[in-house]
Amino acid sequence: MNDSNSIVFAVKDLQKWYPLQQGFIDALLKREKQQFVRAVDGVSFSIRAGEIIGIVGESGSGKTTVGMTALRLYEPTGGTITFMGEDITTHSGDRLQNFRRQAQIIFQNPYESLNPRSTVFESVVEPLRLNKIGTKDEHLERVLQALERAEISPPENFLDRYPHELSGGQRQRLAIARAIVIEPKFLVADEPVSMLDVSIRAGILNLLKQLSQTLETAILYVSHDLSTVRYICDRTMTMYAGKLIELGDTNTVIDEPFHPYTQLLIKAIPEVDPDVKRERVLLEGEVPNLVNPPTGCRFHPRCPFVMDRCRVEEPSLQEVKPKHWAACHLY
Amino acid sequence: MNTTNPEGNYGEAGRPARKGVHASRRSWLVMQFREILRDGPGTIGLIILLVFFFIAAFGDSLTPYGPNDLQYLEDGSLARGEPPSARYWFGTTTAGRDVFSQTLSGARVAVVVGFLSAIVTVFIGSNVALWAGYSGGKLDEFLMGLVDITYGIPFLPFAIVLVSLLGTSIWNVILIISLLFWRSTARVIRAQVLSLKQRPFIWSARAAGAKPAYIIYRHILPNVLPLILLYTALAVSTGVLTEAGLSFLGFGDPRFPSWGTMLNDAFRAGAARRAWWWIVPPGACIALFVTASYMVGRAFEASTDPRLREYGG
Repeated sequence: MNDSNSIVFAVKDLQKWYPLQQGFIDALLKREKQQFVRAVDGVSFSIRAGEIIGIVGESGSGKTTVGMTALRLYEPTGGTITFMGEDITTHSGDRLQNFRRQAQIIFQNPYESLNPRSTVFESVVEPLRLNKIGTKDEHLERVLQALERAEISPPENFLDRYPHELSGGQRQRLAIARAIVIEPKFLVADEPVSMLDVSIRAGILNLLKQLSQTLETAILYVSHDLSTVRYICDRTMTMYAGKLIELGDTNTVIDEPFHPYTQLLIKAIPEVDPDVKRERVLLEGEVPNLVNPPTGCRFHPRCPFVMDRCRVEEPSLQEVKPKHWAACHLY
Repeated sequence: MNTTNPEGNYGEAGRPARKGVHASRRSWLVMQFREILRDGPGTIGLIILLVFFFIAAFGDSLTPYGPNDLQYLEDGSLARGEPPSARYWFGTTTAGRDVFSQTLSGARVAVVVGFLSAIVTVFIGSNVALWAGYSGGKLDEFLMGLVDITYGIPFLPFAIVLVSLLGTSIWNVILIISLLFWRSTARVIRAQVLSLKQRPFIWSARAAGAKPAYIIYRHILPNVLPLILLYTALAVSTGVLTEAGLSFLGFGDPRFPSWGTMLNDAFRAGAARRAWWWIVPPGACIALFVTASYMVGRAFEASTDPRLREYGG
């Protein structure tokens, strides 16, 4: 995981716990111990320049929280965040601003991620203005360039438009233009295509892929859609109940998954060819309660291969094959 | 809102001049007004308010007599309690003053108190709401605690104590109204801010390095502006009604006769049953002014209703 010195971004033992609201009397009498929702509980990974790494998992597994916490939009409860070799976990003021200048995010819903009262130009130029990058004369050039890169053409015609005048795909391209106008070294893409028509997904994904190559941007791609992950991610992580349970090259994770949860997740992908006979597997049960997660392996109540050991001892992430890690007692 | 005009700043960059494809920000207010004009009662309300504005601005040259001048009949006697006639359209008071002239000059107090108090209450209310709602935590608790306190203060005793301490003047009336009535604006707009601040475009601005003040005034304020306009319109009517009430109770400014002061004079002179022409004009004007600003407020409300809104969101 740390075999390269071109690592742009890394987190170690990242935790995000939310305190659970207590009753006033209980808090006063300290009758109950403060409880936490352990949305992210000890996640470690690193991303190299130009690499796209995917996080998959079902709803509530903590994948979006990882993205938000990685950008310091949520404050981490524990662990460290490293950017360009510098520990930025507790940075504030100018030093945090310096990180903001090089990191960006693209959200899931392009109808919500743009201010309805800002024009295209205002939306895209904002990161430049806020971070005092370039002169006013350069701003227009850079905005047009970013729009061109995001394949909004001809960019001149869009500058004065409002988001409601654009289609969903155009809006997402606009959100991407806004994210890349500062040429970020690190980009979080939180389900960037899940709200879009299938017909325009490929275009957006190719765009992200291209950007990671031309701008050497490290991209953290958050998704529950394994087909898009396979399409653009170099490496893939699986998350379950706030834990990282598998990490490896995308092809090996999808073709030969080790962790039973990843195996079930992949079997749940619908098959395109109706003639292919496939074993139907249903993942039973629900994501566990994150306030009192199951002891031992968090997946054991739903795992088809559960052993006695799984209920007691929590498995750690082990390198099962070269460059392929899994957290399971089977290996 | 039109803080930066990209066309002006970038026109020289050698790019082809950008033609505004769509309405610029400047025309947003125009669109708000168009929204009101599409609404029948809103249009009527707006016209009534404009008439009152006109009277307030040029009242001095419109009134046939000075509002406090004593009027004498041809035989040289004081025109006490004269009923409406060609000479005194709304009749005269028992002290011999022209009711029509007093009614016209009362519009000035109504407009000044109504609009100044509305601007001050909404300014305080929306700033409290924006900062409390956006910051959350201790600041929110503190500011919302203040709102609760202002809700707990009974208005009339508070007004009477302050007027007796500060003296009777329309500025003190505006102050009293402003000190209490920002509370409702603050509560409602804060609720809107709470939902807005979780929208992804706010997170996106934060990720780009925006500071709280920037996010509040550049991203949140424009999105709560329709609501602010609605509350301004409603605050105008509250202000006028409150001023009339205070003046009727005798806490009005003696230098500027308002409709409330007129009613107070008439009441003290015992004219309520004998001289209807002294009571009806100020009463009708108060009702008309308040109704008009409510109608404009209703039109704003219609334009903020997402089901009726044609853009935004």
